[in-house]
Amino acid sequence: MQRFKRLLAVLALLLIVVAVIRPVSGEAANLSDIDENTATGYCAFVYDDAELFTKNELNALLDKAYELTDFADTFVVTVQKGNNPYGKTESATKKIGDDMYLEYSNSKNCIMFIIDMHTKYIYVYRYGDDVKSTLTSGKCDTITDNVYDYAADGDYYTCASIALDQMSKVLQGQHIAQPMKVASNLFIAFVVGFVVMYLVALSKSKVGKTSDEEMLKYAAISFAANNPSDVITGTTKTYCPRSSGSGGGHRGGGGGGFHGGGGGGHRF
Amino acid sequence: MYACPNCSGNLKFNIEKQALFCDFCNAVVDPYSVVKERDAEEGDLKVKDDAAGVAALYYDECPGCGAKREGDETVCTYCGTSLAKPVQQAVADVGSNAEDYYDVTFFRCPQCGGEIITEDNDAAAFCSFCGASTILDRRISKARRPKFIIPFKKTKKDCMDAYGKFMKSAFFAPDEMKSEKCVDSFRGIYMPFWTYQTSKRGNVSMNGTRVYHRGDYKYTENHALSADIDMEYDNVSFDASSNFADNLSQGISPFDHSVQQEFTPSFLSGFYADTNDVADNIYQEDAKKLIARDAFKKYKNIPGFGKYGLSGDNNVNKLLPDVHNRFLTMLPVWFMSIRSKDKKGEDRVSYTVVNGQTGKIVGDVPISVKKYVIAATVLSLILFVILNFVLNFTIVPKTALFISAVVSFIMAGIFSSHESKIVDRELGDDDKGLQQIKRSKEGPSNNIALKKKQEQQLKKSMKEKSYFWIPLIICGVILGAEYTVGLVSDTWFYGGAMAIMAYTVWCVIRIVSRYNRLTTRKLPQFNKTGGDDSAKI
Repeated sequence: MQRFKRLLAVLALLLIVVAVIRPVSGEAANLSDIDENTATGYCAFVYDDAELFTKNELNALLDKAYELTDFADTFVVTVQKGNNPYGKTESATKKIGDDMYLEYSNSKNCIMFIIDMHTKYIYVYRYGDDVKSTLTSGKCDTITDNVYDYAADGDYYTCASIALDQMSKVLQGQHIAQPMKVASNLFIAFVVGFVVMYLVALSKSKVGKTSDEEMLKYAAISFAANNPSDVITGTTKTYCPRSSGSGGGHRGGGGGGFHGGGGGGHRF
Repeated sequence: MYACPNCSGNLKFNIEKQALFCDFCNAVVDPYSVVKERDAEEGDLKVKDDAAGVAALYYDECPGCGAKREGDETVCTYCGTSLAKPVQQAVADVGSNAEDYYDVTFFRCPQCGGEIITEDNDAAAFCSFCGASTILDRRISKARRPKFIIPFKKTKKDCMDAYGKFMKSAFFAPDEMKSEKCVDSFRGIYMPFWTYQTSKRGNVSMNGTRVYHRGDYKYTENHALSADIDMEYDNVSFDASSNFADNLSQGISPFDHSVQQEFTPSFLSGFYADTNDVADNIYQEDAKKLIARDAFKKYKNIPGFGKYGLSGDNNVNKLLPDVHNRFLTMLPVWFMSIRSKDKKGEDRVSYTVVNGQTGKIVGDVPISVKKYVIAATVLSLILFVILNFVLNFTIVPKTALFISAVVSFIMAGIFSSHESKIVDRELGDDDKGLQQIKRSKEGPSNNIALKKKQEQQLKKSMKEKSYFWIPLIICGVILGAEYTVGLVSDTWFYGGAMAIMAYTVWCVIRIVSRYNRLTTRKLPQFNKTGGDDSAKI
């Protein structure tokens, strides 16, 4: 009995350790119902690991996410502080997206909106060529840029809700406001425009230097080289093996594999 | 003036006829068959035949350091200062050797001291060197007689056509440069050039190497190459006037000396001429190096020598030729000067010159800041449309900040590099002829260190700061705040990018203004004692 109790204690400890170390996954609390779109086979759920939403908010977000299942599996994910084992960068949040995709989707297309309280990044994650062609990385950056302010103010529901709305609009081919794109392009265009025009103006007004050949174009030149001689005065030999290439053989194709998704994020 | 043998009218050189032409009776006269008609003033000039020889052309004591001239050197062996006397002084000292010098009418600009020669007696009212509209002082004197002259082949109309084409491609040139008045101010001036005749004979050896691989070994073969060289380079010319900027004189080079003719003053009739004030040794090394570089290319093309990878200044120097003769040659140049004021209200002058034989044109073309800003803004808007609507390009604010900072840093670098060139131009350090004149004006001095210190201070005062640290600080503060206090708002990044963008635009506009300083020059101060606006070309 004593041995059994000890074994139970060890198992309990192991479970706790696994729960802490393991990234967001498993049948944790705050997981909404999983709604499946029977027409497309894609499903939607909200996984609120960081407990940022109320029950009503969870359901409202699920409804919005379900609208996106016409295009892909759609998840809204929050990550609790201390629950991202990959670090504190934007790519750590993206890796959570990869994990979630592998664990819960594995479909041809998947989109996710992640609020990572550990890295303090919000991230629009997408996987699959169909989705990527519409929801480009630039669009993902734009969406996160449009909603990061809400996350920074602690209004996570509005943040996720607007992000889902904008993702839906983009996937339906509608326009969304892109102030970041406009502002950034304006800066870059002006900086590059002024510099390029300077180079053009310079090339049009610089006094060209006459080459040696041209300077001597009309010179009276006679050049004769008689009795040329070429004598070897010494030879040095250095061991210098050439880089060994793999001789023949078939390397074989890699084939398949998960290359991860992508998207765009913003700190909050 | 040169009197027409038929009607005594004023003969002037006609470019199309390549002979002297009388506008009154249409007579065509061989330039070598006429003699200048002396007026009363000139008749008073007595030509002395007791020339003291070429030695009188040089100072006995170096004007730079006071050292005695020991042999027949033309440059001080101690401080490198040219020992050649200014032409006027040499003329006075020599005693006007009738063969080496010829009678001329000098017109001197009271503003800049620039002198110009004309064979006609009409008063000149415009200085080609500083662009001043003023009555030039006239005096009769003697000038060193050039050996050859290449007469003008391109008419003023050819020159104006060339200028028209030149200006068409110069989109950013100020409108005043395209005005008819400006185009009409081209003057035909014979500029003095030193023409060098050089040769080198003897065995020239060089060391070559050949590297090849065999198996796992690299073999390096050393070869002693040699050949008996017999080379001659004649008619290599460099300008002999401090009035003529090096970049302009070399820009319109070369001239075809195969058609040069024995100099006779009547060729100048109807044109202007500049006098030489730069000693023959000043550009001699440049001429020798130019020839050596060309000869080196030929040496490398000797059959069998090409594979040895010959290179380096040492090898080039082995082909430096000996100068065995140098002549003064008058070369035809159409010359235009435009006077303007800088933002401090100081007078500046810019030149455009056309080779009077080949029609090659170069010029100081300033960039109109207004035109530049308009063109750059239009280009920026086009780029914006392409980035935003065609390419659907999106970058995050942080990247925009970073790109702006990198570009601004590059522009700050360009600004600084312009500054050094400007200082050299303002001090005349980019023109060897001017350097020589400067040294001879400074006279003897034992305190070279003090002079250098003064020059450094002058350079420092002329330089403008680039403030390159501004974008670095903006970028550093924002990125630092992001990582330390968790600054996330895009507003900061946009604000930073906007500040850096403003800095970059400001920096580029300053670069353009400073570049314009390079395309205009300080008004010349020649301190020597010339034109003829009535010359009909």
